[in-house]
Amino acid sequence: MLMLERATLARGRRVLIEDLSLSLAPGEVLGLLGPNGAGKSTVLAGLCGDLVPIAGSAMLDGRPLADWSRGELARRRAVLPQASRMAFSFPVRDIVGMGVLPGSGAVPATLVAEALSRADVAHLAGRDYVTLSGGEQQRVQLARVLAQLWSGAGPRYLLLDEPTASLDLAHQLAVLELARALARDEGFGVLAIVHDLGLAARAADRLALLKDGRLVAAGPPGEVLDSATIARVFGVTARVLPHPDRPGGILIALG
Amino acid sequence: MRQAVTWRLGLVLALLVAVVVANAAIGAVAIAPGHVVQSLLHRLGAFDMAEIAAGQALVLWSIRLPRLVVGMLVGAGLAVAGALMQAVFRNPLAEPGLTGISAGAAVAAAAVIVLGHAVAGGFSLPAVAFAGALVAFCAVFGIARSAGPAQALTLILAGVAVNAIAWSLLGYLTFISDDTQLRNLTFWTMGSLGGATWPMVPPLLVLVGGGILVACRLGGLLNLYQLGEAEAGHLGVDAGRLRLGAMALAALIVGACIAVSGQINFLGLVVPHLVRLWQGPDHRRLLPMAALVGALLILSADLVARTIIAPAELPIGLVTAFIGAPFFVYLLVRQTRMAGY
Repeated sequence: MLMLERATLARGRRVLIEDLSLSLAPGEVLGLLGPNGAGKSTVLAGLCGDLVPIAGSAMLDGRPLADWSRGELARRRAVLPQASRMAFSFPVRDIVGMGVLPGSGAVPATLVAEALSRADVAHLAGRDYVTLSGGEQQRVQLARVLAQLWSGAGPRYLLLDEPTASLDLAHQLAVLELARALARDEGFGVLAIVHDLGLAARAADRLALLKDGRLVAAGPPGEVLDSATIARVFGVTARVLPHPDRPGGILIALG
Repeated sequence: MRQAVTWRLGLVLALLVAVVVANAAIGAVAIAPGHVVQSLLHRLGAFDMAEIAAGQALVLWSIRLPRLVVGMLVGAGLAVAGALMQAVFRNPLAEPGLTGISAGAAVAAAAVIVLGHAVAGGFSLPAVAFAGALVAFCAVFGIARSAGPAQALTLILAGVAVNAIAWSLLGYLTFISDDTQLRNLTFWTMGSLGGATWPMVPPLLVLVGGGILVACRLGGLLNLYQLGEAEAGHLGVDAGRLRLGAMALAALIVGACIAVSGQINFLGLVVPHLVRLWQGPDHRRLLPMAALVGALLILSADLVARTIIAPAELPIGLVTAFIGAPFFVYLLVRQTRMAGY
């Protein structure tokens, strides 16, 4: 279990998250939602150990994150950044290879090939990363964090910061489907920051809604996403319409 | 892949041997390349060779060879330090001069030359220049640190500030110097391998040779660092320590190089680029290859500097800057175009 417990997170003197409790269990997909500036990335920074809570605690499997060594943490959790620029022209294959942790006993080439194909970038393996589009770069980074987790051990957690941001519709669905598969088949706990409520509702077991650094609602998509909560968090009027195939119904923003 | 590495290595080593022999042979006293090899083998005792003529042997062993050895170490050191800086700043336009190291060394040396050796307190000129380089580096890093977590941008701005102060001090020292002192000063601002002696070699071997070996071991970590500081951290790398370590290493290497050769521009910038164009950005192979290519290029430049206006000698920094600066412009344009600004 990866969790924040009554955590207060600050950057410099600015308190961005106050008294927030949130947990991510192995095998589940948790969608983190909220308007811009709500503190989603800050929560992710707290969960991955980049930001140490000034009050409350951040724990991984019962032990404070700060007590884990960098190397131990790397085997247990991976983080997909929002966007990554590289200054030098590394081939895609090498970048994914950087995810393979030393001493894991895995065959790097096999792991890299598998990661490339799961992130649907196998055809880019020999390309120069710098020349790829934003969406392609995002998927290459996804392949890299997959390689990292696969070369780790124990219960593992994957933190995705807007994994769908620069992707086309087909790849948005594919990436969230991949997140589901990783949770279901490999038992990874997956947290994804997503802006599209419909996509999030479809992919996640649970949603957490954030506003102004506070947790407004958390629970299964069908319970959390109602017109009142959406109006409160996003300031948007929306209707949830029943749908024959989708238990939670479908969401329409009206303005 | 392995084959490509082998032939590249073979090519550079062959060129290096050729330029070493050329440097040893060509000059005011011409020594036939065969005699150079003969004398080397004789002293190494590997073959039953006769020694060459005494006058030639003296020139070879007390002037040209120390210059060759010091030159190779300086060239290799500057190139590796440049590659380290570019890796740490994640910017292909970074170079050792950015951190104020070169300017610090020049000011310290100039102070001793102009204000008299009493300032040095008994230490040799190279030792003082080395100290100056490290003081400037610490100042830059200290300023950047006090402004918050030392980011690349604050480091560069702090470097600009320290450089400006150093150059104004240097300007003042130049202004109050007499003619002889002025000639000595140009050695530091334009660079020369002309002052190379055997006693310089052991400390250089330790600082520069040792520094290069340590740097080469950081290659894998520096690759991960290219993903970004946070990203490298998530992969288990202590990014802050790596950055400080790599920068301190670069400062140590460059300080030692400048202390014996004065300021030699553009090698540290250009060599890592050449090597990257040639064999890609992987630091595990970039750092050792940059060392070899740096040695090769500095000896080539020194050959030009020594012979082009013989019997006089051109400062080597002029040669490297004359070739390096246009290349720098080319890189700048290319990078800007590729980034699509």
